[in-house]
Amino acid sequence: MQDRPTLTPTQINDELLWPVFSFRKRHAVAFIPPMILLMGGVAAVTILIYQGLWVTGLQRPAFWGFFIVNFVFWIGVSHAGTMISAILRLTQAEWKRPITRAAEVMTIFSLVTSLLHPVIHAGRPWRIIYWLIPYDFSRGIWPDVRSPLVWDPIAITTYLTGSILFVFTALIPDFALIRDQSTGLRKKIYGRLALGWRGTPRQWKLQGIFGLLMSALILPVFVSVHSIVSWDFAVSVVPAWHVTVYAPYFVIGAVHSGVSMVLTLMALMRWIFKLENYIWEDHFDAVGRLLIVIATLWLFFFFLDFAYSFYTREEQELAVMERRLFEWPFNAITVIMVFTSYVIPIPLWLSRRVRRNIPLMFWTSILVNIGMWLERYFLIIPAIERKNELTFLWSNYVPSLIESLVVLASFGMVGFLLLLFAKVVPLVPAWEAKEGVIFREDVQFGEVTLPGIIKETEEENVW
Amino acid sequence: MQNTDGNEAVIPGAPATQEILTQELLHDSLQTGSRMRKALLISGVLSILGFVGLFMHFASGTSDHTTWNFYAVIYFYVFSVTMGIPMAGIGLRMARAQWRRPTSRSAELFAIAGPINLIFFIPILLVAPPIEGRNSLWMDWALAPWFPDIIMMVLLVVTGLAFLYVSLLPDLASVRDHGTGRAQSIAATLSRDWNGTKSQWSLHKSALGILGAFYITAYAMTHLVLASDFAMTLVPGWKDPIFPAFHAVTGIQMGAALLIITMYLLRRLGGLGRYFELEQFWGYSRLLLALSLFYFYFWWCAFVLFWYARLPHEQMVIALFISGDYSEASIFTRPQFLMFLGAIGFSFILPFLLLMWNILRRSIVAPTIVGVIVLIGGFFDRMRLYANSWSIDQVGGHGLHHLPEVNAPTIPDLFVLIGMVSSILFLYLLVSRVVGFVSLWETRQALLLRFVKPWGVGHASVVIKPE
Amino acid sequence: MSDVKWGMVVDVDKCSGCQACVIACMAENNIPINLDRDYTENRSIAWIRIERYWEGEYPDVKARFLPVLCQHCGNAPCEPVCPVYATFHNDQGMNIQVYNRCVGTRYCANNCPYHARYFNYRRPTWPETYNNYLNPDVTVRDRGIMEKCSFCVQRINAATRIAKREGNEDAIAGLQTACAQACPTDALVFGNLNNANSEVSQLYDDERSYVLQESIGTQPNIRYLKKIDEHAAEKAHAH
Repeated sequence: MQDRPTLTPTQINDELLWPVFSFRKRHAVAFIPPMILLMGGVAAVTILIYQGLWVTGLQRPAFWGFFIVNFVFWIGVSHAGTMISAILRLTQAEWKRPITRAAEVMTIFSLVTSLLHPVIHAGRPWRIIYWLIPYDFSRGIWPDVRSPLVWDPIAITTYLTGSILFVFTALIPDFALIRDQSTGLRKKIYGRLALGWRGTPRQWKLQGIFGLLMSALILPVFVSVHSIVSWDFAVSVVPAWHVTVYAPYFVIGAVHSGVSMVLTLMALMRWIFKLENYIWEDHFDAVGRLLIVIATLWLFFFFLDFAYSFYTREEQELAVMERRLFEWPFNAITVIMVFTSYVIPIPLWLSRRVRRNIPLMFWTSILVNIGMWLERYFLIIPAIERKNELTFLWSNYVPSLIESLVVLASFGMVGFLLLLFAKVVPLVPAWEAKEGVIFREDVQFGEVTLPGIIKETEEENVW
Repeated sequence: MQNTDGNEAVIPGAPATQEILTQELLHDSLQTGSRMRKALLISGVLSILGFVGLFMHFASGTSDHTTWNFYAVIYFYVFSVTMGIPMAGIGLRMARAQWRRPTSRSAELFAIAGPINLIFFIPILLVAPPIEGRNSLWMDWALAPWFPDIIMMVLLVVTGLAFLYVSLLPDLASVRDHGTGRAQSIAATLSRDWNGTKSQWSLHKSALGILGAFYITAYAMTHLVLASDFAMTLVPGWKDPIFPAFHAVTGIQMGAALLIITMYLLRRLGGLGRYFELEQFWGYSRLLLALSLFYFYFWWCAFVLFWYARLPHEQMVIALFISGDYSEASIFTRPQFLMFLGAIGFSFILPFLLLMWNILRRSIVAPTIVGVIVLIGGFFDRMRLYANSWSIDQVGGHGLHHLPEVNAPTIPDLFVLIGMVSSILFLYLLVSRVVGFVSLWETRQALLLRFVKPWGVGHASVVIKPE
Repeated sequence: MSDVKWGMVVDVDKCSGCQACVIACMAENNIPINLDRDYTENRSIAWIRIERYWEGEYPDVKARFLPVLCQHCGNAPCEPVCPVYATFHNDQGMNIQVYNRCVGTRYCANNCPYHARYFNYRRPTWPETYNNYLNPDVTVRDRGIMEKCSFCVQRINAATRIAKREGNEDAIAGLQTACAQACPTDALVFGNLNNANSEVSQLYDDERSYVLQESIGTQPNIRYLKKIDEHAAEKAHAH
């Protein structure tokens, strides 16, 4: 089977903790591209808020554009965390070990990034930033809970809180590890963060119980967050948005996009932080297989939305589909979207050799995310460009440089925050790596050696 | 590294060994007792009732589809339940859950319901109104809806049977080699030259994977076309892309419910308690909880849109399937609302309130009771969908003008229900006379892939993951 | 004054497309002057606009004019989606826009099927002397805020005050919005729908009356009267 090195605890500590204790060139140089993008974004947002929304390409009737597309995209990416850590924890998949933390923090950072978008796209960001907090601030009125734009921050902050709690408790043993290896100020800070962790059996048991509980509790949040974001569009009366399938369609698209982003992250982490001993081809193989199922589910929901667009044969809906399929630039966008989201990656991933080839997995996962970003654009924009029967006002939306800079900056922001996070904590959980070594047992079957996992047993019956 | 012959469980008193499996699953299960004979006889006789009901229905005419509304309810109910069970089995196999192994055979056997569903589908095709003037997926294709729908149904049924056959193959070979009597000769014909060589097993695994994927695709697409052509098309102004997904997922939910009940019956009446243990019921109860939550989720996705946007034609859809006529004073004169209450109460509220407790999930009786509840809820759900939509005689239009009068179920409908259920039971029991209810090769593999060893001061189980 | 329900009737047959209503509304409500770039960028603001649709081929070309303004819907899709309650329905049947509550999310504009809502992408400016003609009764909106036809609510409020002071309903009965006042052909008729004697109530029941986009079920307070086409019978036979 695969040649798995047996790692000692000391080796694990050294190989995983070096970014925390030192700032090597690989790590520093990795910061440069995201920081460039981020700075471009900061400049763009400053101009935007100072000058007003006229610097964007938004007009009438396309009142929502790149910012909202990007908002939906990053909420989508945030679903990877729960998928990987919660669902894989509940199904006791062993291969989740090195990637749970990276996926979970990517969730947190993409949620934070996406939360910025409704703020900057509003006409008066300096007001919206606190008017959605449910406190009447002596204005005498509260936010209107009938509005999906109020459901959004409620759902997103719930998800963010849950994810932060989840990540933090999983971090505690590693905080303690760093505390025990450091001196001075670092020891003090990590000591506080470790909350007195000693690694006793009771503490481990509690940590495990919390992980299971949180995984179960965060599942409904995970499903509802992107459903609620999709209802921003679906509960409106805009014909091509008012489609009942949007909620699960968006959720499954989110998982597809997010887990592909995790693939990208895995490859990058492995390269930048030299994690070859922790992130193996097996992990790419397993994630690839999961993605085939998810992507096919996505294709089913895409097909549902597509097929039913022609169902009522109402003129305005047909006009939207005509724009999506035949008019430039949407004809190209549609083709690219379908090819990059499904037609190119999935047949490739059906081959085991491809799944175990890390560069190929990296590039195909990037393709998927290009496709999924374009999918959000495909769903959101044509519908409002061809909104209703009063064709006098139909027009085309052309994004501006400011909007493009902000979109690029969002990728820079998530990358930057992840690299910063890597400086503070090991990206691969050290305790998970150690557990993985302890709980592994290889079993000989004649000429073949198969990997086995050691699990707690309670029942007498053994199936 | 540990050497194992895969035979011994180290903890004393552990229940299963390869010898026990061979004895119980190969020799004992093929013995047909008097109770089994009685069951076969009764179900065989009652199956005829189904055809009697069908003839009675045809006699009273096929021109008015509104009198066939409860036939549609019953057909789609049985179809959803039985075609959904193999989905649960295939899904768990793909997820590589080891605890499903003893249950896979009882799940996959329900694929023999396919031909019965196909036979009773023909009247639906004949009676349902043409798509002319109505919204439909097929635009103005002259051959629709009967041509694509029959193709999809045949594909689904054939794929299910093919999957079943491939899954049965190793056990058919065992019966051929070690069985006796009629079962042995049937198995010999069916098992061809299966000898359990390495390449055959490898091919077997790929075939199961591919056929499983085909079944899932065929299942999803069949539910799509059937739900669209025989429910959505009949209601003017109802456009609901999530409805096919709702239909498919509730089918799996009802299938899981029936599977749990089957497991319980096999445990109590079939003496197969060793195979249908707490772990299996626990696993399926978690699946049932998740699927019940999905019932609510998919239903809510449609409802929140229709409710929030207040478009008049969608308000009529809410009135048709959920609330009934608001102007009626009492809820008892709103049959649509009562049906909906039954559907959501028994398909979501009760299962959720019961299965959210771990102590109920981790038991054997509670999931079975919840399974019965879900089957009741599923019937209410198909009733609210089909009895109402088939009662509409308005063709086309932007929206439904008024709520239709719902025709009551008739005796022929009851006969059809009894007949469909009995014929499926009959075939199920018949096939089990050749191969048994629990898969021998799956459980043999389970024993090889998991064992118990001393660990620290106690014991731990080692689970081997072949991939 | 909740026994008042404001409504309007637009007679498409009488509308000549002169755009006097557009100018009057602009003058009354401090709407910024739309420059060329506002039209090419599709960001022009005109609370009432004349939509022009061409019919037929040269030389039998006809233009149809449709004045579209906020319909003040009874079942308004724009109202529940505002996160900060900047738009709501008052007890006189109008849809009110509160400028200083608006944060500019533009969801209401997306949800309006009539495209009747406008967003201030830019801070409005007027050339030096034009400041003098701004209406002091109407807020000058800053950038980032939604705006739309308000049925000249400042005139309604003024008339209400006068009526209360004078003790009679004359001011209310004679109330005209700026667009209705300016229309040279009397195509726009504004008034109290709850008063059975008002012209608008009588025109409401005209056999030509219809509602824009009825299938969406917005229950607008504005009804339109169909354009009379004397060649309609011939055209019907020709097909």
